[in-house]
Order: sequence, then C-alpha cells, then structure tokens
Amino acid sequence: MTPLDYDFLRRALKQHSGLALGADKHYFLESRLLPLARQAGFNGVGDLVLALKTGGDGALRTAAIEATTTSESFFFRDKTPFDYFRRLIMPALLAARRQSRVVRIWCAAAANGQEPYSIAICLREMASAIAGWRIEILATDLSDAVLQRARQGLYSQFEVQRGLPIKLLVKYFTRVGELWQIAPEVRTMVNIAASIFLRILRRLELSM
Amino acid sequence: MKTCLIVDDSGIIRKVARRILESLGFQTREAENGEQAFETCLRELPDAILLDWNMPKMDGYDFLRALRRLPGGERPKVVFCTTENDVAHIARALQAGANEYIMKPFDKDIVEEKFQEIGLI
Repeated sequence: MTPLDYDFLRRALKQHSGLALGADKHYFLESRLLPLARQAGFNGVGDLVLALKTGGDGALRTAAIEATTTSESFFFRDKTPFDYFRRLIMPALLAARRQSRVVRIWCAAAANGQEPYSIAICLREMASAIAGWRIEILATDLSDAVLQRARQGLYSQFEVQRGLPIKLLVKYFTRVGELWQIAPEVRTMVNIAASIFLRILRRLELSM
Repeated sequence: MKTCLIVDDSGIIRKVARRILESLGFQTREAENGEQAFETCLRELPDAILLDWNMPKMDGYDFLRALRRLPGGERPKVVFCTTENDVAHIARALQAGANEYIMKPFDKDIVEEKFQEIGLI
C-alpha cells in the first residue's frame, strides 16, 4: 500500500463511513483489507485500491467499509452507562415526557445487538414504571452482516457470560443448541435497520 | 484481603482459577471436592467460593445446600463454575443459594465481571 493508496482509503472511509483514521494506521488498514483483497482475487491491497478508484463495484466498496468496522460489543457494556440509564436517564425522561408518553432511543452503532437488547432488558425490568408508554428502540450499524446477527438474536455461551447477570440470562434467553437466543418479547422491542446515521448527518450538514 | 475457596476436582482448573483470582486480589484456598470444601468451611468461612458441580464424594450442589445450612453459611458468595450449561442446572443452582454462575470454559474477564456483579470486587 503506497502513501497515495493510504490517503485514498482514509478519504473514502471518512466519506462513506465517518471513520477518521490518523496518519499512522497503515497496519490497521493492511490487516483489515488484505483478506478481502485475496478473497476478491487481487494480489494485494494496492490492487484492491485500484479497483476501488475506478469506482464501478459498489459491492466491493461496501465490503471494504465493512472490513474496517469494529463489531465487538457486550451486553451491558461498561455497566455504568446502563446504571445511569436506569437510575437517572429514564426517570428524567418519564418526567419530561409525561404528556406524550413516548420515548425514542437510537443505538447508532448497534453491532451484533447486545447494547440495544440490553436497553430493552432494562426497560422490561422497569415494566410497571413504563406501563402505557410507547418506547421505541432503533438500532443501526454500517455493517449489514452484524445487523443480520442482531436480528437473529443468537449468541454464543461466551457472549452471554460477558456483562449479563445469570438471573437475566435465564429470564430473557433460551438455549438453541449450543447458542442462546434472546426472548421474542425483547427482540420485538428493537427495530433493527440499515444505517441511516450518515444520511441524517448529511441532511443536518446541508441544513446548517 | 478477601479469600476465595476454589472447589474443583481438576488440578488444572484450580491452577487457572487460582492465578485469575490472585490477580484480582484474592487470597485463595483449594478443595478437590465438596467434602473437603465443607471441612474447610467448618474451620473458616471464605468470602467467596468458586464451585464446580460434578465432583466425587460430594458434588457442588450438595455442598452448597450443606453450606447454606451452616451458621453463617449464608455469607460466602458462591459462584458455580461448571460445564453444566443448561437452564435446569442454572435454576437449581440459584434455588440452592448460588449467587452467580459461570459456564466453562471461562476467562479472567468473565470471572472478574461475575465477581463484580455480586459485589466481591
């Protein structure tokens, strides 16, 4: 990958995914894109870049963007934000929206779904406080592949042990073979859609 | 320093668990089965117990039930750590008084988060 190739990729990723890479992330791009280059029949990342520059193959561009995204996530990731959501944010929202009784939540980088499902579980645990309310959870991500996983709501034993108390595991998941699947009543609380984040940002930029 | 009793009939598991728990700041003791664990608890109750299920002489489930009947036996936080990964076993463990449950294989992150969840860290 030449410096010119790197600059091209940096600009393209910024434009299409919002990912802002510093000047020294060559190894990161090389490691993420080389498998894709080989899979597509190119000799290396340089040839992949050449193909991207000609601009004809939208599927290749999408695959390149997805190869640079990070899809790691956990249930109740970092714990504290979800504690704040339960103890501070939802009570404040319930007070502020008591006329409309509607709350809309957007999980913008939902990855495999653990975080929006964690929000949904928090809401189910406070069911009496939100009885009669309309709570909408929108989950988006750049990667269609991870969103497909999120729609299935199927997780490995390892994934359901990170961040998820055992009582919530047995309450909201069932075993499907060697995997664990989120309960239907939780899955249906989350509307999983292809990412509109950048389109919204662009609309906001144009209106400013 | 908090103490953790590691109960498992596998020496390798006990070694791995010991390293993890010591890195998390626990002083550890070990038992090869439920019977040894119970004798240890009769002498001194630990703060935490990492407990396998399937062991000779006395399994983890029977040990836990016996522990909870001891004076002060409600105090140690008990985390099952077992290959039994079905809902029925988990439900039985919780009903018998387990505080958390780890399905093997495990790593340091899982142990740390489970111990944090129940206030041990």
